[in-house]
Amino acid sequence: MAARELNITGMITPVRRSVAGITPEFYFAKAIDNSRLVLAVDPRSRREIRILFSSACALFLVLMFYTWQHFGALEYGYKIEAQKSEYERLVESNRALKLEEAQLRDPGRIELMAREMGLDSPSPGQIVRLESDVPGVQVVAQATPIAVIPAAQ
Amino acid sequence: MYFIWEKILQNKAVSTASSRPHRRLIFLAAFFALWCVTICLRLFWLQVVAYGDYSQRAARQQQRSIEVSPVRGNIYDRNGNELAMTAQVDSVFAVPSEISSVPQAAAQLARALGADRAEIASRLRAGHAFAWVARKIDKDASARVRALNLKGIYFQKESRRFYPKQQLAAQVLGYVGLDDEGLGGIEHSFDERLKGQPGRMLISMDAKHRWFGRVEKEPDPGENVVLTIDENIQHVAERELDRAMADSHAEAGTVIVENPHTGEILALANRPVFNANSLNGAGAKYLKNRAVSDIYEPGSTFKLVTLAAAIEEKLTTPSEVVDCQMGSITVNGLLIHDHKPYGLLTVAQVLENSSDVGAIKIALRLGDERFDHYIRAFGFGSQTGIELPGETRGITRPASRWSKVSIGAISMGQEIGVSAMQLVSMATTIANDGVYMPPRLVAGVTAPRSAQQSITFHPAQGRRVISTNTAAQMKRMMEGVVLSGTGKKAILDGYSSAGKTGTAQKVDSVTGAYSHRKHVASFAGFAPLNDPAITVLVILDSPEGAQEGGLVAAPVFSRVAQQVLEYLNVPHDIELRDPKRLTLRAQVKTEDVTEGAPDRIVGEAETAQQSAPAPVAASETKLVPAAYRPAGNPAPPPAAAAVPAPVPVRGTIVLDAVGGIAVPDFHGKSLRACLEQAQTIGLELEVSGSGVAQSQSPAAGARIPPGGHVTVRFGR
Repeated sequence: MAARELNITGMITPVRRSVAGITPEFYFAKAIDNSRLVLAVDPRSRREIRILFSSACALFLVLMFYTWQHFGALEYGYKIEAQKSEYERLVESNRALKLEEAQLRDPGRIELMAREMGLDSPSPGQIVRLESDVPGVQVVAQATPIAVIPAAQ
Repeated sequence: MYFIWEKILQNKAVSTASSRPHRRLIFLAAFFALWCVTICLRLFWLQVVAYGDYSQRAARQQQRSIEVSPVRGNIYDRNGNELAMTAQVDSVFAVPSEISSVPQAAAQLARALGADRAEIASRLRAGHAFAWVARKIDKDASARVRALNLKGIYFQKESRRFYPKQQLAAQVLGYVGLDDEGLGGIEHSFDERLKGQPGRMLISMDAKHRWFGRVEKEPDPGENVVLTIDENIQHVAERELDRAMADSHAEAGTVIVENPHTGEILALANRPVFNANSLNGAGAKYLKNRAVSDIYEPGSTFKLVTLAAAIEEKLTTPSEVVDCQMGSITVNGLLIHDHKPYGLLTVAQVLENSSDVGAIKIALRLGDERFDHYIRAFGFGSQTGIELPGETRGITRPASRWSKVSIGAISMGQEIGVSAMQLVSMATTIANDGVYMPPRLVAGVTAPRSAQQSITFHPAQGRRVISTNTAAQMKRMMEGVVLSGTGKKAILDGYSSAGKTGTAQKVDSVTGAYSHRKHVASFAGFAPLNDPAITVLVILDSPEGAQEGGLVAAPVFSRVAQQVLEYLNVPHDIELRDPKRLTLRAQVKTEDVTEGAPDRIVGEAETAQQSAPAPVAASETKLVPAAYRPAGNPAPPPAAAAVPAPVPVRGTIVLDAVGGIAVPDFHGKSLRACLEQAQTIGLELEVSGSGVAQSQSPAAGARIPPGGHVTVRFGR
């Protein structure tokens, strides 16, 4: 019955199987050769598939680009924050160093250290100023072992 | 979906009797379609309808708004040296819900911080989400707490105020509270300009609380304040005041150094003093600025006003002879004694010897109204306007409320309460050729990030009180006080000086009467005589042992003025190491410097004292009466002082202002340009940093020997 419905051609090798009380069934192995079958090209289908594939690729690329930008921005945000924190840390470090410098320049501290080294304040007249015709000019002091003794003495 | 539907249609066109495969496909397609629509609807709901709610939730989770505290401005001295600065320090806080064992954590923290364990434990129990453990701790304490590595304990940076010069000019600078609000001194007066404006920061954080974005409104940092104080002069004043306090065991002291021509306060020292870096519960005794808030009866120093007013009104001259009536005078029925029975004295000698009788007789010529006019013209009875909080205007009653004996009392410095700042302004007026210059402490305010931190001072408008001629005569007489009178200890080496001593009795707070034991010793003077560079006022409250201004305060003036004049490079106008002057200074006896009336003005004086308005409530102000020296109770004579030996000159420091090379201005130049220029003119450069030159030492224009070193700091 199945063979008739399917309209099969070719070599038929019947195989008989019989089971008691049941109508014997015949199985036929059929060798089908489709080598001469040529599938017709469906240009419409091919075009549709191309469009589908291109759209999927484009969507994929857009999604990838968006994701790349998004996570890239987050990464840069982290880096910028790190740099800002580093900048703030350096500014604060600079301020702390200025504070330390000011503490080291405390006149009381310097005087204590000077006295411990055996230094003393110059007595009146121990600093000799050579007159300058430019008032208010700063002059760096030089020490000399030569003692200047005023003529009055 | 479309292609499936097409296929279905195609298959349906070629299908035969059975439609089951088509129906299955249809069901499958319908199922997927339904699924897709459901997803789309859900997405629409989440992203469009419920967008507002979810974005708010996300913002709450991811974003924080933080107020950013501004950096408080610095306070500098006139040369740009930092006197007060702000730096970031750690504060420790806890999230108590994360702490497993509060007692154990409290014990460990207390050990690390040196704090009370019970107090820390109570703070941890008080809150659930946040509790301060310790605020603004130093680096060592912070390191110890970090080393504990306790769960639930976190650190936050906060600003803390530092005073790098420790207690230098402490009462002038003031101090700040825990939240950086100014509570005294310049910190309080200029709090609005120093504190700046806070900013806001909107931060975005991820699930691990890492920041990945921020939008900030920058805080406006506070402006910087530049004072007229010179750090080195301040140090000299404080050092000499410390020495005087140690020698005399005085309860308190004040030294003020002022530029008489501009009114700039170069130094303002008070003792006792505090260290604003660690207040440790310092009380009002330490925190208040006695120079502006304390009132005292000036005593004999006030005779300068009496005599200046009389000379200005041409009622007397320095050479006029006055009969001091052997030391007693009756004023409107009340007998007043002098400390010595003087006979005939010139007006100049009245000042030199501080004769009360002489001063009273001169004041009687003036009369109440004119005398009161000059008192107020010299600035008494009103605030000087100095930029410090809590300044008193003193106690000066109008002439209409004077008693019949007031003119006598006030002429010798009783019955009037003045502040140290008013008194130094009076001396400054005489030094400034009769023009009153309001004292000022602040040179100006600079922008927060300005590199230049020293600015030109613009003095306030002065007003003429006495004529130049009168001022010149007063200067001569004040020089006489130093050379021939009670102020010999104020003689300087190499400089002329002028001044007036004062020894005023204090009121005994127990009896309400003048004390015989407690005095206020003072000396107000200036140097050099002809073109004064500085005015110096010294006040010592309740010195023990010697109490006369001439013995206790005048030497402090001498030491301070000597060092400050040398520091300012003021040319000597007197021969150095003049043996006569040095001998005069060394051989001062107590009787030479005694001043003031031996007897109080009884009755009227006490009535006036009690009716005086109460002193300023915020301070321990006491009215201190005028000089008193009971005739039978002289102070013990000082130990005999030998003539000072000449100072051996071991070496000499030479300032060659003519030779040498002038240092060029490197500011703003690149490193290469600086090196090339230095090489060309023959100087050695020591450089630090990178960028362009920001500062140099010595300054541009200074002269140094060829081959000398110049330090240049570079920055961006």
